[in-house]
Amino acid sequence: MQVFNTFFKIAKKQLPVTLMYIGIFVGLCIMMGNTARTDKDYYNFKACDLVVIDRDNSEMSAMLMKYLAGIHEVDTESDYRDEQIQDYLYYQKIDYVLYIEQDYAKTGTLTNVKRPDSKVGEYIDNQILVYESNMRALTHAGYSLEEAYALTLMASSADGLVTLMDKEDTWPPIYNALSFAPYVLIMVMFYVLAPVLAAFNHKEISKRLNVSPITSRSKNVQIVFGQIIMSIFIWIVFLAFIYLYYGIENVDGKLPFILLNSMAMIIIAASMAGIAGNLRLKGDILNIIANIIGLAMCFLGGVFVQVKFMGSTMLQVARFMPTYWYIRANEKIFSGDNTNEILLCIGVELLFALVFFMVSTVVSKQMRAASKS
Amino acid sequence: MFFHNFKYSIKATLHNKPHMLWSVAFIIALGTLFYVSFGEIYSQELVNAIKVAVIIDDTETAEVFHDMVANISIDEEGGEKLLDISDVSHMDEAKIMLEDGDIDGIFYSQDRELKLMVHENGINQSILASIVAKYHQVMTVIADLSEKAPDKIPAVLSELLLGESHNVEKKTTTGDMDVYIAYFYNLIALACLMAVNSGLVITMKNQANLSIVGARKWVAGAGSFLQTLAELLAGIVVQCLCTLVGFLYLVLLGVDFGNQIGYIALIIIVGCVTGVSLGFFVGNIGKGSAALKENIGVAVILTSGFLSGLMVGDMRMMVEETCPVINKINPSALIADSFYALNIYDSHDRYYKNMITLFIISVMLIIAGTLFGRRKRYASI
Amino acid sequence: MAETVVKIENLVKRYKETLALDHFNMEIKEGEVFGLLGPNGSGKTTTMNCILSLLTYDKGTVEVFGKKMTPDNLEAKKNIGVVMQNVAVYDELTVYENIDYFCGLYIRDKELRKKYVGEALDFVELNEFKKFYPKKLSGGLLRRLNIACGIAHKPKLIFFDEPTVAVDPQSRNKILEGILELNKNGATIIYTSHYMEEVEQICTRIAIMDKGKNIALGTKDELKKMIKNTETISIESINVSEEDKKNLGALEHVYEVNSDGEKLIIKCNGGKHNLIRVLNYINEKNIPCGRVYSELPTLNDVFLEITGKELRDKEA
Repeated sequence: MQVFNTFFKIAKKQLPVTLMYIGIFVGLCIMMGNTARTDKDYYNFKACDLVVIDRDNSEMSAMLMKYLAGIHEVDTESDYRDEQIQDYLYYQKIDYVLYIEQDYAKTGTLTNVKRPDSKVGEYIDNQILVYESNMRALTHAGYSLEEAYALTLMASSADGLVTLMDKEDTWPPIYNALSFAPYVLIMVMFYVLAPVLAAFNHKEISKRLNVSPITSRSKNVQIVFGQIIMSIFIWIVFLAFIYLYYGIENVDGKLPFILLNSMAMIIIAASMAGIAGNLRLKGDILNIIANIIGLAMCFLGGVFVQVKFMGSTMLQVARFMPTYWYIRANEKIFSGDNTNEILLCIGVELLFALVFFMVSTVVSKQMRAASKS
Repeated sequence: MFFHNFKYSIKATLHNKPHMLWSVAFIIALGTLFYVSFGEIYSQELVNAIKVAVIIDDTETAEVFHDMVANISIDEEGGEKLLDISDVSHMDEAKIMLEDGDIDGIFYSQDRELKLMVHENGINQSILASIVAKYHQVMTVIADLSEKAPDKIPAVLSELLLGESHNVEKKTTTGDMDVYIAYFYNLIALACLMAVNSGLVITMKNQANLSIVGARKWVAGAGSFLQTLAELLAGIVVQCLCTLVGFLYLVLLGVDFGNQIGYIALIIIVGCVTGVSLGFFVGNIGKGSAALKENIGVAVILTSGFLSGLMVGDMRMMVEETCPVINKINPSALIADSFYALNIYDSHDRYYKNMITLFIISVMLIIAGTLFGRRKRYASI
Repeated sequence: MAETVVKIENLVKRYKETLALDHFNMEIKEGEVFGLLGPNGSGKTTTMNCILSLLTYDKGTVEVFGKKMTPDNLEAKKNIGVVMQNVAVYDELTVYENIDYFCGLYIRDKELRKKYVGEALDFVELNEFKKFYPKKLSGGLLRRLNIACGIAHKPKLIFFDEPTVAVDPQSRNKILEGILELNKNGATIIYTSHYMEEVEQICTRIAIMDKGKNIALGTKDELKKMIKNTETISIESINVSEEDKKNLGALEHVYEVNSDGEKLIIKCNGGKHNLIRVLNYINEKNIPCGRVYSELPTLNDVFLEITGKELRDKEA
């Protein structure tokens, strides 16, 4: 088991770097998890983020603000600079800015700033128009302001009129963190496992091993065994961090599937890192390739941007990413879907892992053959 | 000595073909990926016709509904209508279309009331809900007026259905508000900061305890500030070339960075300067091995990119809310924000502020690196 | 009187618990080819690195060209050349470019540098390889490139740190000849090695090191005179009785008689015609034998006698 022991001697020297990467990426994972919209979703049924600046300070302007606050998240006390408002609109932190101008009570003048041609903007414009036309029409018809307002409020409500076919589940924050796990696991394995494997595949070391009395098969088995142990270690550390932060109260009977799903993902990550190691990638080349593969797989697979926002062509491409199947499995686990469907997704992930492993083996053989010639 | 060092550093770096190829490939691969991934998303957020099914059995309700939606258009000329009504007459069929995502909602009637069925929460669904709400509003008001002032109904109805808006839009920018372009800004930022590898290599080849060439140069008395500057400049030049090539590819692909070429070039140059300086600094501090310093460099730029919103677009705003000072010193955020400022603002104040900040950061990193790495003896080499 | 180029006094250097240099003293005069001989781990490279101010040291002083040697002593560094044990060249530059680059760290004048680089290429006979990259060169050629990079700027003081490791005999001879030529042209050479044959061949003065100490210093003749043994007579394929051994040991100037299987080793101290006396005895006793030869003591003998161990570990 000399090769196996040496594998861990090399890995042990990398322990500080390993823990550093796990710490950093898990930290990013937790931060990513906390950014995901849950109950304050941009595409929430009603609530958008509005800023309303009242320059009129009249009874009428107060009524308008109250009306809007009943539907949306309204920020009235902000002291935003123009530049801030622009930034917030661009980065979609706010959706709409309404200025109730000084002569609003007399002329009804309003000014708005929104993202051009956006649906949200049009939607809120429409709501304000409904309110305005209602109030104008009723006050012209002889209603008092208060009567007109009360009727407008009652009339504008859509409660009870809209049915949601399938109730959307609200998932615990750990769901979001686990959604980002593929990125964490792929990057950690590339930065940590690939260099260890590259050390074994160093040209001269490889030659030395080839002329030793250890058979190729024995050497490969020991290295694979080493990879497995290392992967398990990283997997456990990663999960420990996540569970320590989020706890396991909200996962109920989902824990076995969560473990299976994340285990499948780390096997995939280890296999890909194996290919990189067998190709003797290191230094800045490894860094660049790790970023390309990690980011590509995660963007295409729906880790960073949800699959539902992708076009149909992209969706077809996404199916060829193991990360896509991980995300699907994760969704099915947390929405309590059929066990068979979950296992199907995990099965597909394991197939990907098998393919990567086979590619890794072929690459290893080719590199060995090349070093002999 | 300066030009001697510069010349040979350029030669050595240019000859490192794998590094150069992969530096360019990085932008090309991820740029293509982003372009293909995000190409359709923003257009989906723009106003376009919403597909619906209308299955209203009650004639009166149907008439009022159709009158109401007839005037709702996407464009100001009234050409394209907001609702794209599908040719479906049975509820079951409509429900299947709704589940499959072929339509966003089903308008139907129940007890002579207009109702809406949707499959998910979304902006399209919210717009449809506002139509139902408007219908309900009209009917409620008419009902109330019938009791109190029936003669006013025509005037009120006219106002409700055809009333003009006094809500004027103010355009604060002529720039492109597509938030997904920020991913490309961050990609260029990361590509610039990848120059950290160049800075590290330059440093290690000047340190006796990290490379044998470093030992030889050290003994020669090399490593003066000017000599180091020459090598750093060479690293910057090569990284700029690689990033510019990748950037041009993105432009050819169709990503709109605007047309302020000179300003854009300056962002890339200053970004690469920052990347190289960062590598120089990391390489000179502490007594760690070359591998450890490489890993630290990688960790720093990935964290920088993440906090700037490379992976999750919302991260920048989250950082702005919780700890805004990070956005003011994070190199990735500053580079991406410079592109943003060029896009959105006519004035270059913010752009120059970012450039100056980046430049100051670079100078500080180089000075700190020089101070830490100045001629010294080693305990062991 | 030749000037002192390098002077080390009472140098102490520790690597954590290990004492690498133990109150080491040394003085090297201008024009010498000074050898630092010692087994692996004796402190030769550490001494060299301390002289070059690459390493910190705990105690003592180092002077080069009469001035204290510090990392900032650029005046001294301009006149120093180093040929390191490991090849220190840029893989990304050609042979010519490497020499030109490193020479350029010392010589600013472009024309002068061009001349020096050409001479360095001639010196190491790498002209036909000047456009090659290091990866394409054999081990011996790489070593020559390494040398060229260290001496192109015509330094007054040159350090050679085991320059012939893993080099074929032909290249090795060329390197040694080259070093002598450099010395002839005025350079002071400090040569570290654990190959005594090389040191004996080229060094004018030798310091033998062991465990960080300077255990012997002098010319090779002076060093050999330090030990008892002045002549070793070896007789192969011989079988002698204990009595014969005793009798041989009693011969004049003989102080030690050992047998190593069928080989008899007789050590003598002083005197002339020791071989004749031994041969006469063997003839008288009609003792059959094979080859007989006499050797003068080597530096290995010097080292063995002083330390009780071989200069180099017995090679299998």
